[in-house]
Amino acid sequence: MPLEKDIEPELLQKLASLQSVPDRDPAKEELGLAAFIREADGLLTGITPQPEARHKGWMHALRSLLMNQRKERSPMINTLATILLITSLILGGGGATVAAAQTSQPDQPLYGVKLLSEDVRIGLAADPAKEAQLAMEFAGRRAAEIALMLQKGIAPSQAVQLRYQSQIELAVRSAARLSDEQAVKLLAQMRIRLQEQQQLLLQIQENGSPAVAAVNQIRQMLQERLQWIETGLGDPAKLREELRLREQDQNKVQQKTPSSEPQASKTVPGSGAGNPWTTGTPTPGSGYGPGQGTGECEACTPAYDGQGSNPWTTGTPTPGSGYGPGQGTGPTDPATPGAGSGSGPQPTPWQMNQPTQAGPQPTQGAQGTAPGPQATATPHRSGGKP
Amino acid sequence: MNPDAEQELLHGAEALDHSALAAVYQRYSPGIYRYAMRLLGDDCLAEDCVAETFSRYLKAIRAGKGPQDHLQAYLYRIAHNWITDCYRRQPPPPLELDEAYPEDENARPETRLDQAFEQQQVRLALRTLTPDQRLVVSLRFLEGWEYDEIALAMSKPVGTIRALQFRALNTLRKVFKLSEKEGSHAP
Repeated sequence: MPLEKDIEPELLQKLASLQSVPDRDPAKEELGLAAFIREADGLLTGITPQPEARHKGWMHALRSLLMNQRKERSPMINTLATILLITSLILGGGGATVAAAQTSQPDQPLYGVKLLSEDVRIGLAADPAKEAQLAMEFAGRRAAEIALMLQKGIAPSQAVQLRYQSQIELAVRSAARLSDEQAVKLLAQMRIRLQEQQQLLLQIQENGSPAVAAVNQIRQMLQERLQWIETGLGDPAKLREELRLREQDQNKVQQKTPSSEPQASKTVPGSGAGNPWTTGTPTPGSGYGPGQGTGECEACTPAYDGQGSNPWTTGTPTPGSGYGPGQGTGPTDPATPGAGSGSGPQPTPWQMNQPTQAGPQPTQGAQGTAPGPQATATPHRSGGKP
Repeated sequence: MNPDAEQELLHGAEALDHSALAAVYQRYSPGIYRYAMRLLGDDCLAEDCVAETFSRYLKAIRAGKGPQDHLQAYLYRIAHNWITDCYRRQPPPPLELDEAYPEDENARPETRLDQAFEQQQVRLALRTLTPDQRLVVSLRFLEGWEYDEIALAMSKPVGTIRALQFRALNTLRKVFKLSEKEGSHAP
């Protein structure tokens, strides 16, 4: 078919400019032919085995199969194999380390890995319910670790105790973010677990663990968190509100005080020598109570309201706890114990991170030890703070 | 080529017979070289294309996948694929006077330059086509093949070849800024 039918002359002319091609160099053509024949000869050699190889071919095949001998090694396969090896070493080795760390105790080197793996699992939790369950599971681990240490007569470190507390609080907070029905269900489970843990501690205490103070502190902390849970079981909304207020207050304090030292001085205007970090309900006999402050710091210390209510403690103080107002400007409630200006105990691990309105605590002070008829009294927040 | 003669040649080549292989090379390598030279404009690349084309042919024979007929179409298809890969690997060469034009040695330098410039323009225009379109245009208008031969080489129906040619020419018209004559040159 003539080309002119398919294409206009102008375009054909342009394409025809490529028609003129110089002749091929005959020498190169000869060389090309020789190379072609040589390559064909190489194929012939490759296809037909050597005479001796024909008789021992089965040995070669077996050796190739067992020892993976290859005439040519593929760079891609080598690279992939290297990547796979490194990946398996990293992941497999890391996984083995994490698995081994799961049974480690606080005094063992892999304990940090265990905590890190827990943090990662909590961080990856998809929803608050899962987060709460994980936090409660890990709190159970802390409880077991603490119990083991106490049975050995070793006082658990503050770091372990703090982690125990923070994981319980995280569980409660996560549960509070759920719907009322789900929250109550989870809180009920938490209550059972915490009660079991409290019971375990009680047994340890009865068995005569030397670390009495630590046991007491942990039991106190558990009691406080159980009170949160009780609040939540009764009214989840109230628990949420309390948690929100608590968080707000902590944020305020953190904004005001960049470090913990000034925090203590600002939040405890009562300047009593008590425990400035206490936030929870005082333990009987702990000497927890208000100091001599004047309550002038409105931002951080509620003024005496005549009711003596402590927003952080919803329960009734235990008789003999010495819990009550100090010698501040607030009126003295006959139902409260004599306020003490004596020095309180050192900050407990539960209270290290929670500077609040707590005032100095009369313990064995001159005026603060006499338990009054405060069994039914509500703690006051006068001048000095509870 | 006589089909019987071609079959005989193919069988000899499959047996890696030297004389058959040499005959195949001598018969088809010049055409492959010209084809590559037209599209690449570089004699070294064209020689590489020839060598690689025949090397792939040998490998196909060894694998038992060599052609049973239409050896020329088969070899052109290999060469075309190699050139397409070459286009992908390399940017368009710069416009320069090529030393591989001995017949132009007596021509005036400006004439050689114009000729080289025009050839380079056409090569660049062919690069704008799809590989299939380029193959159709090359075989049809540079090598002078008929539709049925191109269809065999590309393993496509003749209608498809016509459609490919139609679209290729339209693209070339746009590239060369020629007026399109779609009615008169429709497939």
